[in-house]
Amino acid sequence: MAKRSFLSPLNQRRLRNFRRNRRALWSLIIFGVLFGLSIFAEFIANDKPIAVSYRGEIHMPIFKFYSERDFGGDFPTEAGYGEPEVDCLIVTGGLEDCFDNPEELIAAVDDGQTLEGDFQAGWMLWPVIPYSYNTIVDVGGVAPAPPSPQNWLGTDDTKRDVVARVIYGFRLSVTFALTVTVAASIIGIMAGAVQGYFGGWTDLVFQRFIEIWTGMPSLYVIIIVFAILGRSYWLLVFLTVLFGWPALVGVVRAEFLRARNLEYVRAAKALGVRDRTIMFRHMLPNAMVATLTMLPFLVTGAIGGLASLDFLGFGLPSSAPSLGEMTLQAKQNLQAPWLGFTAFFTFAIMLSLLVFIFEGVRDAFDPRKTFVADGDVVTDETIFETEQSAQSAGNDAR
Amino acid sequence: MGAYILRRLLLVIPTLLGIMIINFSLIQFVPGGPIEQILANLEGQGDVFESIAGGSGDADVGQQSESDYVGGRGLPPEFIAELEREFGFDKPPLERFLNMMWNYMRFDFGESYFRSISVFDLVVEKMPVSITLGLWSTLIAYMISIPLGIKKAVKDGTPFDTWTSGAIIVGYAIPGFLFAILLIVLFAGGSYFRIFPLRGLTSSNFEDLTMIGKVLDYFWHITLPVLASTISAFATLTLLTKNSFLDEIKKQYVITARAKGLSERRVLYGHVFRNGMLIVISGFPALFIGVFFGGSLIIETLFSLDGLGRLGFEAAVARDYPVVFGTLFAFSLIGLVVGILTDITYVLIDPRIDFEARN
Repeated sequence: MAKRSFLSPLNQRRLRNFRRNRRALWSLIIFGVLFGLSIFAEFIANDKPIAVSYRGEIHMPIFKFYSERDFGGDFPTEAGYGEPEVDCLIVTGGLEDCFDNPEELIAAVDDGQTLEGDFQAGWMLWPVIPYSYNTIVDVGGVAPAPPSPQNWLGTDDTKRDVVARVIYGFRLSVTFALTVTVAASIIGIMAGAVQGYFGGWTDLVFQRFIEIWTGMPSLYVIIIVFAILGRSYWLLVFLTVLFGWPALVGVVRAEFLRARNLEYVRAAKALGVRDRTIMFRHMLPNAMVATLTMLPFLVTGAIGGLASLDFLGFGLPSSAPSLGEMTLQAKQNLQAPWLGFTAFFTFAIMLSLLVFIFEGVRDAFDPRKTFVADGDVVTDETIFETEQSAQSAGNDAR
Repeated sequence: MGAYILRRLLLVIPTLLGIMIINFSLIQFVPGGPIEQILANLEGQGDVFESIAGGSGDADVGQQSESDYVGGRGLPPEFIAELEREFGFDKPPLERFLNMMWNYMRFDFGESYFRSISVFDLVVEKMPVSITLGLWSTLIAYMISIPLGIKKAVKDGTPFDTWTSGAIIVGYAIPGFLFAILLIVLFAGGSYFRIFPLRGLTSSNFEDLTMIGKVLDYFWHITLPVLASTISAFATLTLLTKNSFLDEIKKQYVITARAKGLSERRVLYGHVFRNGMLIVISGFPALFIGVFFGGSLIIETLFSLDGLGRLGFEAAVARDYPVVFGTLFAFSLIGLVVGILTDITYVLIDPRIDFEARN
């Protein structure tokens, strides 16, 4: 195996360790596929066709606005691709007769007939699910409609397709959680590092500050800020980070407090290395395991937090494809159990996969972890052990 | 140790003061206060929970402005002035804050704005729900987690260990209210099994029931909410027990106990148990408080229970400041003191822990 790798031997070991953890690896694969698909949600669930061939020209309504006039219709508004008239205009190449009996003409074109007049056959390529998250589905019956061949998981109480909402909601939740986690970790790690490295008064004052900060009723603040500034996705990200970063501080601080009197740090100091370099280059890698331990709970916490806010009606704007809102609907429409099941299993699968992946990452980074030959990781309990020791180490310092 | 405890107790003061100052100043920027709430109520448009139930939370907060009571159109200005005086809003904020803190320091928490009941009584009134949820879910969690943790420690590394870990971690990751929804749909929704009631702590005919009937009725009502709030509680405790037992089992006194021919059961429960449980016991102060004052807004809302979680939320939305600040002060104080108590328990249980050893 003379293959050269871009990774350092240490990272190669980590990668190997991760691969050996079958539960984490499979979680990553499944999650990767699901998230990858949901990134292209517009191509899977959309109320606009991916491609339209009209009079020999290919149009992509998914990217570009086309008015009905572009297809020979009357209105300057966006073409309603689901309507039979527009459908007929496209497949026939804009015949006038489409306004009278579109269904007949479509059926005729489907049979392969050539119609008289200015006929030119066209086609439309639809996504698998012809609804977007906010499309009102045109079916009869009462509002939360049960699963049917047309709506695989039924519709919600405003007649929107549940599958489409799950796909978009999954993407929204995951991107929200990852953004929040990355931002909160960066702030939390820096704060914890500074606090633990300098110790003493810095630590004492900062610790009080965090106690005060975590004493704030975050739900209330979110309600207030939303009332003043209006609801938006990025504002919610900002607020969640604002209240989320202290979660990591304790662990990082404890690791730094422990390490700051160790020989390698003293040696580095004696050599005149700058504080910043000591902290982030020499000490941080050692605090990595403890930090990664908290990450799965930051991620799931962010998703759970978003869901509860949406559930209470204080989350994202009501137009957003939110899974928390679906949970609320499930509670309000107990006669429609498919909403509850969908919400529960979407969250259960999403959160389990994320927890398993991050657990695997954590284990892969842990130098003390031993891996058995057949690939099962020995334990995953260190998570709570670290949490515990962080707590007591944190207390030591006061 | 004495000096350490004293220092920690003294540090409570600036922290508590900080929490109160921040929250009090925050309130000053909020559009719409209790007076607007009352005016809105008088004009018949102020049902705060209507808007929450309907899912549009901004309706109640954004509608009024601070200076000219839009909601008060049609009400005489003397009436509004009267209200302001009654609530003490005619004084400057600093004076109000100092007044408030002075009362709180003497543990006088005042009365709710909207119900003629003292904040203290209000909290006591809501406690049955919190105690119910807290007590039973804690009991269940301990009764399952500790034996499970011990079994996992004994069977460390086996498939049993792996899958139970997976299961409890998943249970920990999924928010409790999703389990609650699933339970409601399955057992109380009418679509599948209509076994458990949907709302409340007791039935409406509770007074007429016999003693046994009352007990049964109570347990019948609390099954689902307790179950939903228990599921996430397993993970921490089980893994804590397991780790602690793993550490102990490796020690020499266990080898000695085995060598003198004790049964495995006796070794585990007679010798290891005492030492292994120490770390679990050190969590008792926090646990105790959690049982009495814990509240989960969403679980309570889902099962229509009237507990402390709802109280805090309702007070915040309705701008019932005495309740908001009274509970904030009391619970922050309790939380800080319990933190110190927990640390002292650590020392009592394991004298090797020394908080003053650092330079």
